Amino acid sequence: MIELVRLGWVLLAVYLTAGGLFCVAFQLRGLPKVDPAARESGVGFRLMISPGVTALWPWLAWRWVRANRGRVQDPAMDSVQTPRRLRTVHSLLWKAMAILVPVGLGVALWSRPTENHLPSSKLPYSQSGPPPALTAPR
Amino acid sequence: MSAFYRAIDWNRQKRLYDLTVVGLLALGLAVFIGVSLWVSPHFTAETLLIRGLAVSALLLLHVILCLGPLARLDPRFLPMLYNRRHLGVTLFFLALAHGALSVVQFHALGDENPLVSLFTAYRVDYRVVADGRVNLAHFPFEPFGLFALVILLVMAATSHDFWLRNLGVSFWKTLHLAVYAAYGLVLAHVAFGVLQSERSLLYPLLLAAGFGTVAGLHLLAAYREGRVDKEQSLAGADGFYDVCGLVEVREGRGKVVVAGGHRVALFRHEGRLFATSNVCRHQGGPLGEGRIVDGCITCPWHGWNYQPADGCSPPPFEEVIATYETRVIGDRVWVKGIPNPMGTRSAGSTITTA
Repeated sequence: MIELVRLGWVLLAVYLTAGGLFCVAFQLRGLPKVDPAARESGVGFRLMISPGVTALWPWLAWRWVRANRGRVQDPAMDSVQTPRRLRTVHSLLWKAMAILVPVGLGVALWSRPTENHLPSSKLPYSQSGPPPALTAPR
Repeated sequence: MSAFYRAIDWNRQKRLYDLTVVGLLALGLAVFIGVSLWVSPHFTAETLLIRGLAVSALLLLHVILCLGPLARLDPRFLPMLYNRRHLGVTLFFLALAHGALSVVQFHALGDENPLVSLFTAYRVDYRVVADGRVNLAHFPFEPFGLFALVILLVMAATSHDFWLRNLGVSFWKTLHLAVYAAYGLVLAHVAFGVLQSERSLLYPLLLAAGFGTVAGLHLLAAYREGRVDKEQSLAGADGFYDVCGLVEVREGRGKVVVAGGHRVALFRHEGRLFATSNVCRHQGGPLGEGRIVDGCITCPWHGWNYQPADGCSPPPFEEVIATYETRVIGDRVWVKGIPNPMGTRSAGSTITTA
Protein backbone atom coordinates (compact mmCIF):
# COMPACT_ATOMS: atom_id res chain seq x y z
CA MET A 1 0.00 0.00 0.00
CA ILE A 2 2.72 2.46 1.00
CA GLU A 3 4.65 1.72 -2.19
CA LEU A 4 1.52 2.27 -4.27
CA VAL A 5 0.86 5.62 -2.61
CA ARG A 6 4.48 6.68 -3.06
CA LEU A 7 4.33 5.71 -6.73
CA GLY A 8 1.12 7.73 -7.14
CA TRP A 9 2.74 10.85 -5.70
CA VAL A 10 5.85 10.37 -7.85
CA LEU A 11 3.73 10.04 -11.00
CA LEU A 12 1.79 13.15 -10.04
CA ALA A 13 5.03 15.06 -9.44
CA VAL A 14 6.34 13.99 -12.86
CA TYR A 15 3.07 15.03 -14.53
CA LEU A 16 3.05 18.43 -12.82
CA THR A 17 6.74 19.05 -13.52
CA ALA A 18 6.07 18.41 -17.21
CA GLY A 19 3.05 20.71 -16.87
CA GLY A 20 5.19 23.45 -15.31
CA LEU A 21 7.73 23.26 -18.14
CA PHE A 22 4.95 23.24 -20.69
CA CYS A 23 3.38 26.26 -18.98
CA VAL A 24 6.54 28.33 -19.47
CA ALA A 25 6.75 27.40 -23.15
CA PHE A 26 3.03 27.95 -23.64
CA GLN A 27 3.11 31.40 -22.06
CA LEU A 28 6.09 32.40 -24.24
CA ARG A 29 4.98 30.97 -27.58
CA GLY A 30 1.74 29.04 -27.62
CA LEU A 31 -0.84 31.28 -25.97
CA PRO A 32 -1.38 33.78 -28.82
CA LYS A 33 -1.58 30.95 -31.33
CA VAL A 34 -4.09 28.92 -29.39
CA ASP A 35 -6.25 31.89 -28.39
CA PRO A 36 -5.77 35.16 -30.31
CA ALA A 37 -7.86 37.00 -27.71
CA ALA A 38 -5.00 36.41 -25.25
CA ARG A 39 -2.48 38.22 -27.47
CA GLU A 40 -2.68 41.54 -25.61
CA SER A 41 -3.37 40.11 -22.19
CA GLY A 42 -1.39 41.22 -19.16
CA VAL A 43 0.78 39.48 -16.59
CA GLY A 44 -2.11 39.11 -14.13
CA PHE A 45 -4.15 37.11 -16.61
CA ARG A 46 -1.17 34.93 -17.53
CA LEU A 47 -0.45 34.20 -13.87
CA MET A 48 -4.10 33.43 -13.27
CA ILE A 49 -4.29 30.76 -15.96
CA SER A 50 -0.93 29.19 -15.08
CA PRO A 51 -2.23 26.63 -12.53
CA GLY A 52 -4.82 25.45 -15.04
CA VAL A 53 -2.25 25.29 -17.85
CA THR A 54 0.01 23.21 -15.59
CA ALA A 55 -2.83 20.87 -14.65
CA LEU A 56 -4.47 20.51 -18.08
CA TRP A 57 -1.37 20.75 -20.25
CA PRO A 58 -2.09 17.74 -22.53
CA TRP A 59 -5.32 19.37 -23.73
CA LEU A 60 -3.59 22.69 -24.47
CA ALA A 61 -0.65 20.92 -26.10
CA TRP A 62 -3.12 19.24 -28.46
CA ARG A 63 -4.73 22.61 -29.24
CA TRP A 64 -1.31 24.16 -29.80
CA VAL A 65 -0.40 21.42 -32.30
CA ARG A 66 -3.71 21.96 -34.11
CA ALA A 67 -3.15 25.73 -34.13
CA ASN A 68 0.26 25.20 -35.75
CA ARG A 69 -1.47 23.18 -38.45
CA GLY A 70 -4.01 25.95 -38.93
CA ARG A 71 -6.82 23.80 -37.61
CA VAL A 72 -7.63 25.52 -34.35
CA GLN A 73 -11.34 25.74 -33.78
CA ASP A 74 -13.46 27.58 -31.30
CA PRO A 75 -14.93 24.81 -29.15
CA ALA A 76 -17.15 27.37 -27.45
CA MET A 77 -19.54 26.81 -30.33
CA ASP A 78 -22.07 24.56 -28.68
CA SER A 79 -25.36 23.11 -29.72
CA VAL A 80 -28.48 24.81 -28.41
CA GLN A 81 -29.36 21.39 -27.03
CA THR A 82 -26.37 21.47 -24.66
CA PRO A 83 -28.25 23.12 -21.78
CA ARG A 84 -30.99 20.52 -22.07
CA ARG A 85 -28.45 17.69 -21.92
CA LEU A 86 -26.78 19.32 -18.95
CA ARG A 87 -30.14 19.73 -17.21
CA THR A 88 -30.79 16.02 -17.69
CA VAL A 89 -27.35 15.07 -16.33
CA HIS A 90 -27.84 17.48 -13.44
CA SER A 91 -31.19 15.99 -12.56
CA LEU A 92 -29.86 12.42 -12.69
CA LEU A 93 -26.87 13.37 -10.52
CA TRP A 94 -29.09 14.79 -7.81
CA LYS A 95 -31.45 11.83 -7.85
CA ALA A 96 -28.40 9.62 -7.31
CA MET A 97 -27.04 11.92 -4.59
CA ALA A 98 -30.41 11.98 -2.85
CA ILE A 99 -30.10 8.21 -2.39
CA LEU A 100 -26.36 7.69 -1.92
CA VAL A 101 -25.58 10.48 0.54
CA PRO A 102 -28.22 9.54 3.15
CA VAL A 103 -27.09 5.91 2.90
CA GLY A 104 -23.44 6.95 3.37
CA LEU A 105 -24.28 9.22 6.29
CA GLY A 106 -26.38 6.47 7.83
CA VAL A 107 -23.52 3.96 7.61
CA ALA A 108 -21.09 6.47 9.10
CA LEU A 109 -23.38 7.22 12.03
CA TRP A 110 -24.42 3.62 12.59
CA SER A 111 -20.80 2.51 12.70
CA ARG A 112 -19.75 5.22 15.13
CA PRO A 113 -17.82 3.47 17.86
CA THR A 114 -19.32 3.54 21.27
CA GLU A 115 -17.20 5.58 23.63
CA ASN A 116 -15.66 2.41 25.09
CA HIS A 117 -14.18 1.59 21.71
CA LEU A 118 -12.86 5.01 20.79
CA PRO A 119 -9.09 5.18 20.47
CA SER A 120 -7.69 7.75 22.86
CA SER A 121 -6.64 9.96 19.93
CA LYS A 122 -10.29 10.27 18.90
CA LEU A 123 -11.77 10.97 22.29
CA PRO A 124 -13.15 14.47 22.56
CA TYR A 125 -10.83 16.75 24.47
CA SER A 126 -13.49 17.10 27.11
CA GLN A 127 -12.71 13.48 28.07
CA SER A 128 -9.10 13.01 27.12
CA GLY A 129 -7.76 16.52 27.64
CA PRO A 130 -5.40 18.19 25.19
CA PRO A 131 -2.59 16.09 23.71
CA PRO A 132 0.66 16.20 25.69
CA ALA A 133 3.09 18.86 24.62
CA LEU A 134 6.17 17.71 22.76
CA THR A 135 9.17 17.86 25.04
CA ALA A 136 11.88 17.00 22.58
CA PRO A 137 12.35 17.35 18.84
CA ARG A 138 11.84 14.17 16.88
CA MET B 1 -16.23 35.87 -26.18
CA SER B 2 -14.37 38.93 -24.94
CA ALA B 3 -12.23 40.96 -27.32
CA PHE B 4 -9.30 40.37 -24.95
CA TYR B 5 -8.72 38.96 -21.47
CA ARG B 6 -8.07 40.62 -18.15
CA ALA B 7 -7.19 38.85 -14.92
CA ILE B 8 -10.44 40.10 -13.35
CA ASP B 9 -12.89 42.57 -14.84
CA TRP B 10 -13.37 44.49 -11.62
CA ASN B 11 -16.42 46.67 -11.23
CA ARG B 12 -18.24 48.18 -8.28
CA GLN B 13 -20.60 45.24 -7.86
CA LYS B 14 -17.78 42.69 -7.83
CA ARG B 15 -15.84 44.67 -5.23
CA LEU B 16 -18.92 44.97 -3.05
CA TYR B 17 -19.69 41.28 -3.50
CA ASP B 18 -16.18 40.19 -2.59
CA LEU B 19 -15.92 42.53 0.38
CA THR B 20 -19.23 41.20 1.71
CA VAL B 21 -18.06 37.59 1.31
CA VAL B 22 -14.73 38.22 3.03
CA GLY B 23 -16.44 40.14 5.83
CA LEU B 24 -19.02 37.41 6.44
CA LEU B 25 -16.35 34.71 6.40
CA ALA B 26 -14.17 36.59 8.88
CA LEU B 27 -17.18 37.17 11.11
CA GLY B 28 -18.19 33.50 10.89
CA LEU B 29 -14.67 32.34 11.72
CA ALA B 30 -14.50 34.69 14.72
CA VAL B 31 -17.88 33.53 16.01
CA PHE B 32 -16.90 29.87 15.59
CA ILE B 33 -13.62 30.33 17.44
CA GLY B 34 -15.32 32.34 20.20
CA VAL B 35 -18.10 29.80 20.75
CA SER B 36 -15.67 26.86 20.58
CA LEU B 37 -13.40 28.44 23.19
CA TRP B 38 -16.39 29.08 25.41
CA VAL B 39 -17.67 25.49 25.10
CA SER B 40 -14.26 23.75 25.19
CA PRO B 41 -11.64 26.05 26.69
CA HIS B 42 -8.82 23.52 26.23
CA PHE B 43 -8.99 23.46 22.44
CA THR B 44 -5.59 24.40 21.03
CA ALA B 45 -5.21 27.30 18.61
CA GLU B 46 -4.30 24.88 15.80
CA THR B 47 -7.42 22.79 16.35
CA LEU B 48 -9.62 25.88 16.45
CA LEU B 49 -8.14 27.19 13.23
CA ILE B 50 -8.36 23.83 11.45
CA ARG B 51 -11.96 23.34 12.48
CA GLY B 52 -12.92 26.97 11.90
CA LEU B 53 -11.59 26.87 8.34
CA ALA B 54 -13.37 23.57 7.76
CA VAL B 55 -16.71 24.90 9.02
CA SER B 56 -16.32 28.10 6.93
CA ALA B 57 -15.52 26.06 3.81
CA LEU B 58 -18.42 23.68 4.43
CA LEU B 59 -20.87 26.55 4.90
CA LEU B 60 -19.59 28.32 1.79
CA LEU B 61 -19.88 25.11 -0.23
CA HIS B 62 -23.53 24.82 0.81
CA VAL B 63 -24.18 28.45 -0.15
CA ILE B 64 -22.53 27.94 -3.55
CA LEU B 65 -24.54 24.81 -4.22
CA CYS B 66 -27.80 26.50 -3.24
CA LEU B 67 -27.28 29.60 -5.42
CA GLY B 68 -27.86 27.80 -8.76
CA PRO B 69 -31.28 26.32 -7.97
CA LEU B 70 -32.34 29.38 -5.96
CA ALA B 71 -31.69 31.58 -9.00
CA ARG B 72 -33.73 29.16 -11.14
CA LEU B 73 -36.61 29.24 -8.65
CA ASP B 74 -36.59 32.95 -7.81
CA PRO B 75 -35.00 35.68 -9.99
CA ARG B 76 -34.26 37.77 -6.90
CA PHE B 77 -31.28 35.48 -6.27
CA LEU B 78 -29.75 36.18 -9.70
CA PRO B 79 -27.44 38.96 -8.45
CA MET B 80 -25.80 36.44 -6.11
CA LEU B 81 -25.09 34.16 -9.06
CA TYR B 82 -23.25 36.96 -10.87
CA ASN B 83 -19.94 36.45 -9.10
CA ARG B 84 -20.24 32.83 -8.03
CA ARG B 85 -16.82 31.90 -9.41
CA HIS B 86 -15.19 34.18 -6.83
CA LEU B 87 -17.00 32.17 -4.17
CA GLY B 88 -15.59 28.99 -5.69
CA VAL B 89 -12.03 30.30 -5.64
CA THR B 90 -12.49 31.50 -2.04
CA LEU B 91 -13.79 28.07 -1.12
CA PHE B 92 -10.71 26.45 -2.61
CA PHE B 93 -8.35 28.64 -0.58
CA LEU B 94 -10.28 27.96 2.63
CA ALA B 95 -10.16 24.22 1.95
CA LEU B 96 -6.46 24.44 1.03
CA ALA B 97 -5.66 26.25 4.29
CA HIS B 98 -7.62 23.63 6.25
CA GLY B 99 -5.86 20.79 4.45
CA ALA B 100 -2.37 22.26 4.75
CA LEU B 101 -2.76 22.97 8.46
CA SER B 102 -4.17 19.49 9.04
CA VAL B 103 -1.26 17.81 7.26
CA VAL B 104 1.22 19.84 9.30
CA GLN B 105 -0.65 19.22 12.54
CA PHE B 106 -1.37 15.51 12.16
CA HIS B 107 1.22 14.12 9.76
CA ALA B 108 4.34 16.28 9.73
CA LEU B 109 5.95 14.93 12.91
CA GLY B 110 6.21 11.30 11.89
CA ASP B 111 8.89 9.34 10.04
CA GLU B 112 6.81 9.00 6.89
CA ASN B 113 6.37 11.60 4.17
CA PRO B 114 3.24 13.52 5.28
CA LEU B 115 1.58 13.14 1.88
CA VAL B 116 2.08 9.36 2.03
CA SER B 117 1.04 9.29 5.65
CA LEU B 118 -2.33 10.79 4.65
CA PHE B 119 -3.18 7.45 3.06
CA THR B 120 -1.33 5.04 5.29
CA ALA B 121 -1.69 6.34 8.84
CA TYR B 122 -4.97 4.53 9.43
CA ARG B 123 -5.56 0.98 10.51
CA VAL B 124 -9.24 0.18 10.34
CA ASP B 125 -10.49 -2.26 12.92
CA TYR B 126 -13.05 -4.20 10.90
CA ARG B 127 -13.85 -6.54 13.77
CA VAL B 128 -17.44 -6.48 14.83
CA VAL B 129 -17.46 -5.03 18.28
CA ALA B 130 -19.65 -5.99 21.19
CA ASP B 131 -22.87 -4.23 20.17
CA GLY B 132 -22.77 -5.61 16.63
CA ARG B 133 -21.18 -2.54 15.00
CA VAL B 134 -18.03 -2.28 12.96
CA ASN B 135 -15.52 0.09 14.46
CA LEU B 136 -14.69 2.72 11.83
CA ALA B 137 -12.87 5.05 14.19
CA HIS B 138 -9.69 4.59 12.17
CA PHE B 139 -11.34 4.84 8.77
CA PRO B 140 -9.04 6.78 6.38
CA PHE B 141 -11.28 9.83 6.01
CA GLU B 142 -8.55 12.27 5.02
CA PRO B 143 -8.16 10.98 1.42
CA PHE B 144 -11.85 11.93 0.88
CA GLY B 145 -10.93 15.51 1.75
CA LEU B 146 -7.80 15.41 -0.40
CA PHE B 147 -9.71 14.22 -3.47
CA ALA B 148 -12.35 16.90 -2.89
CA LEU B 149 -9.56 19.48 -2.67
CA VAL B 150 -8.12 18.32 -6.00
CA ILE B 151 -11.53 18.77 -7.64
CA LEU B 152 -11.89 22.24 -6.12
CA LEU B 153 -8.38 23.08 -7.35
CA VAL B 154 -9.20 22.09 -10.93
CA MET B 155 -12.43 24.08 -10.77
CA ALA B 156 -10.76 27.17 -9.32
CA ALA B 157 -7.89 26.93 -11.82
CA THR B 158 -10.31 26.77 -14.75
CA SER B 159 -12.73 29.42 -13.56
CA HIS B 160 -11.49 32.16 -15.92
CA ASP B 161 -13.31 32.83 -19.21
CA PHE B 162 -10.15 31.74 -21.03
CA TRP B 163 -11.05 28.19 -20.05
CA LEU B 164 -14.63 28.53 -21.21
CA ARG B 165 -13.32 29.38 -24.65
CA ASN B 166 -10.52 26.83 -24.76
CA LEU B 167 -12.31 23.89 -23.19
CA GLY B 168 -15.69 24.66 -24.75
CA VAL B 169 -18.84 25.49 -22.83
CA SER B 170 -20.10 21.89 -22.81
CA PHE B 171 -16.90 20.40 -21.49
CA TRP B 172 -16.33 23.28 -19.06
CA LYS B 173 -19.78 22.95 -17.57
CA THR B 174 -19.51 19.15 -17.42
CA LEU B 175 -16.13 19.52 -15.69
CA HIS B 176 -17.65 21.90 -13.17
CA LEU B 177 -20.45 19.43 -12.41
CA ALA B 178 -17.66 17.66 -10.52
CA VAL B 179 -18.48 20.02 -7.66
CA TYR B 180 -21.18 17.50 -6.71
CA ALA B 181 -18.56 14.76 -6.46
CA ALA B 182 -16.51 17.13 -4.31
CA TYR B 183 -19.57 17.74 -2.13
CA GLY B 184 -20.13 14.00 -1.69
CA LEU B 185 -16.45 13.53 -0.79
CA VAL B 186 -16.59 16.38 1.72
CA LEU B 187 -19.65 14.86 3.37
CA ALA B 188 -17.83 11.52 3.60
CA HIS B 189 -14.75 13.31 4.98
CA VAL B 190 -16.87 14.84 7.74
CA ALA B 191 -19.02 11.78 8.44
CA PHE B 192 -16.10 9.35 8.71
CA GLY B 193 -13.85 11.93 10.37
CA VAL B 194 -15.01 14.34 12.99
CA LEU B 195 -18.45 12.76 13.40
CA GLN B 196 -16.81 9.53 14.58
CA SER B 197 -15.49 11.28 17.68
CA GLU B 198 -17.93 14.12 18.32
CA ARG B 199 -20.81 12.58 20.25
CA SER B 200 -23.34 15.41 20.06
CA LEU B 201 -26.36 14.68 17.87
CA LEU B 202 -26.32 18.33 16.79
CA TYR B 203 -23.51 17.84 14.24
CA PRO B 204 -25.08 15.02 12.21
CA LEU B 205 -28.41 16.85 12.34
CA LEU B 206 -26.83 20.04 10.99
CA LEU B 207 -25.06 18.08 8.27
CA ALA B 208 -28.28 16.29 7.29
CA ALA B 209 -30.19 19.61 7.26
CA GLY B 210 -27.55 21.14 4.99
CA PHE B 211 -27.69 18.24 2.58
CA GLY B 212 -31.49 18.16 2.70
CA THR B 213 -31.63 21.85 1.78
CA VAL B 214 -29.19 21.52 -1.11
CA ALA B 215 -30.75 18.32 -2.46
CA GLY B 216 -34.31 19.60 -2.02
CA LEU B 217 -33.58 22.84 -3.91
CA HIS B 218 -31.86 20.98 -6.75
CA LEU B 219 -34.63 18.43 -7.12
CA LEU B 220 -37.30 21.16 -7.03
CA ALA B 221 -35.46 23.22 -9.67
CA ALA B 222 -34.96 20.08 -11.79
CA TYR B 223 -38.70 19.32 -11.56
CA ARG B 224 -39.62 22.87 -12.62
CA GLU B 225 -37.13 22.85 -15.50
CA GLY B 226 -38.32 19.43 -16.63
CA ARG B 227 -41.89 20.75 -16.82
CA VAL B 228 -40.77 23.61 -19.08
CA ASP B 229 -38.97 21.19 -21.41
CA LYS B 230 -42.09 19.04 -21.65
CA GLU B 231 -44.32 21.98 -22.63
CA GLN B 232 -46.00 21.30 -25.94
CA SER B 233 -46.97 24.27 -28.05
CA LEU B 234 -49.67 24.08 -30.68
CA ALA B 235 -48.04 23.71 -34.09
CA GLY B 236 -49.38 25.39 -37.21
CA ALA B 237 -49.10 23.95 -40.71
CA ASP B 238 -46.18 26.21 -41.70
CA GLY B 239 -43.77 25.35 -38.91
CA PHE B 240 -44.88 28.12 -36.55
CA TYR B 241 -45.93 27.36 -32.98
CA ASP B 242 -48.51 29.17 -30.88
CA VAL B 243 -46.34 29.89 -27.84
CA CYS B 244 -48.10 32.47 -25.66
CA GLY B 245 -50.40 35.43 -25.43
CA LEU B 246 -49.04 38.83 -26.46
CA VAL B 247 -49.84 40.36 -23.07
CA GLU B 248 -47.43 37.89 -21.45
CA VAL B 249 -44.46 39.60 -23.13
CA ARG B 250 -43.71 42.90 -21.40
CA GLU B 251 -41.82 45.79 -22.97
CA GLY B 252 -38.07 45.41 -22.41
CA ARG B 253 -38.45 42.09 -20.57
CA GLY B 254 -37.76 38.57 -21.80
CA LYS B 255 -40.00 35.52 -21.76
CA VAL B 256 -38.98 31.90 -22.23
CA VAL B 257 -41.21 29.84 -24.52
CA VAL B 258 -40.85 26.46 -26.20
CA ALA B 259 -41.21 26.11 -29.97
CA GLY B 260 -40.46 22.88 -31.77
CA GLY B 261 -38.67 21.52 -28.71
CA HIS B 262 -36.34 24.56 -28.51
CA ARG B 263 -36.34 27.06 -25.68
CA VAL B 264 -36.75 30.46 -27.27
CA ALA B 265 -36.32 33.90 -25.69
CA LEU B 266 -39.03 36.41 -26.67
CA PHE B 267 -38.50 40.15 -26.31
CA ARG B 268 -40.79 43.10 -26.94
CA HIS B 269 -38.66 46.09 -27.91
CA GLU B 270 -39.76 49.45 -29.37
CA GLY B 271 -43.04 48.15 -30.74
CA ARG B 272 -41.65 44.96 -32.26
CA LEU B 273 -41.41 41.37 -31.12
CA PHE B 274 -38.12 39.48 -31.46
CA ALA B 275 -37.17 35.88 -30.78
CA THR B 276 -33.68 34.48 -30.19
CA SER B 277 -32.12 31.34 -28.81
CA ASN B 278 -32.54 31.20 -25.03
CA VAL B 279 -28.93 30.07 -24.58
CA CYS B 280 -26.24 32.64 -23.82
CA ARG B 281 -22.94 31.86 -25.56
CA HIS B 282 -21.01 32.56 -22.38
CA GLN B 283 -22.20 29.97 -19.89
CA GLY B 284 -25.56 28.95 -21.35
CA GLY B 285 -27.51 31.42 -19.21
CA PRO B 286 -31.27 31.78 -19.84
CA LEU B 287 -31.51 34.92 -22.00
CA GLY B 288 -35.30 34.87 -21.82
CA GLU B 289 -35.06 35.63 -18.11
CA GLY B 290 -33.06 38.75 -18.90
CA ARG B 291 -34.12 42.11 -20.25
CA ILE B 292 -33.26 44.73 -22.83
CA VAL B 293 -30.60 47.19 -21.66
CA ASP B 294 -29.42 49.96 -24.01
CA GLY B 295 -31.15 48.22 -26.90
CA CYS B 296 -29.43 44.87 -26.29
CA ILE B 297 -30.67 41.61 -24.83
CA THR B 298 -28.75 41.24 -21.57
CA CYS B 299 -28.08 37.85 -20.03
CA PRO B 300 -29.26 37.71 -16.40
CA TRP B 301 -26.22 35.70 -15.31
CA HIS B 302 -23.22 37.80 -16.33
CA GLY B 303 -24.60 40.62 -18.47
CA TRP B 304 -23.51 39.45 -21.93
CA ASN B 305 -25.23 41.43 -24.71
CA TYR B 306 -26.88 40.54 -28.02
CA GLN B 307 -28.78 42.67 -30.51
CA PRO B 308 -32.38 41.44 -30.70
CA ALA B 309 -32.67 41.74 -34.50
CA ASP B 310 -29.65 39.66 -35.56
CA GLY B 311 -28.47 37.94 -32.35
CA CYS B 312 -24.97 39.44 -32.72
CA SER B 313 -23.06 40.93 -29.80
CA PRO B 314 -22.32 44.62 -30.29
CA PRO B 315 -18.77 45.33 -31.59
CA PRO B 316 -15.99 44.61 -30.72
CA PHE B 317 -17.51 41.39 -29.40
CA GLU B 318 -18.09 38.55 -31.86
CA GLU B 319 -20.59 36.20 -30.25
CA VAL B 320 -23.73 35.27 -32.16
CA ILE B 321 -26.93 33.49 -31.16
CA ALA B 322 -29.66 32.21 -33.44
CA THR B 323 -32.76 34.25 -34.16
CA TYR B 324 -36.25 32.90 -34.84
CA GLU B 325 -39.06 34.23 -37.02
CA THR B 326 -42.11 35.49 -35.15
CA ARG B 327 -45.70 36.33 -35.99
CA VAL B 328 -48.36 38.12 -34.03
CA ILE B 329 -51.84 36.94 -34.95
CA GLY B 330 -54.57 38.59 -32.96
CA ASP B 331 -53.48 38.45 -29.34
CA ARG B 332 -51.30 35.35 -29.79
CA VAL B 333 -47.57 35.04 -30.48
CA TRP B 334 -46.31 32.43 -32.95
CA VAL B 335 -42.66 31.41 -33.29
CA LYS B 336 -41.09 29.28 -36.03
CA GLY B 337 -39.76 26.03 -34.61
CA ILE B 338 -36.57 26.10 -36.70
CA PRO B 339 -33.91 28.74 -35.95
CA ASN B 340 -32.52 31.03 -38.64
CA PRO B 341 -28.86 30.54 -39.60
CA MET B 342 -26.56 32.33 -37.13
CA GLY B 343 -26.39 36.06 -37.64
CA THR B 344 -29.55 36.22 -39.81
CA ARG B 345 -31.30 39.53 -39.37
CA SER B 346 -34.96 39.24 -38.46
CA ALA B 347 -37.19 42.26 -38.71
CA GLY B 348 -39.34 41.01 -35.84
CA SER B 349 -43.10 41.32 -35.80
CA THR B 350 -44.90 44.62 -35.55
CA ILE B 351 -47.13 44.81 -32.51
CA THR B 352 -50.33 46.62 -33.23
CA THR B 353 -52.45 45.47 -30.30
CA ALA B 354 -52.10 44.81 -26.57
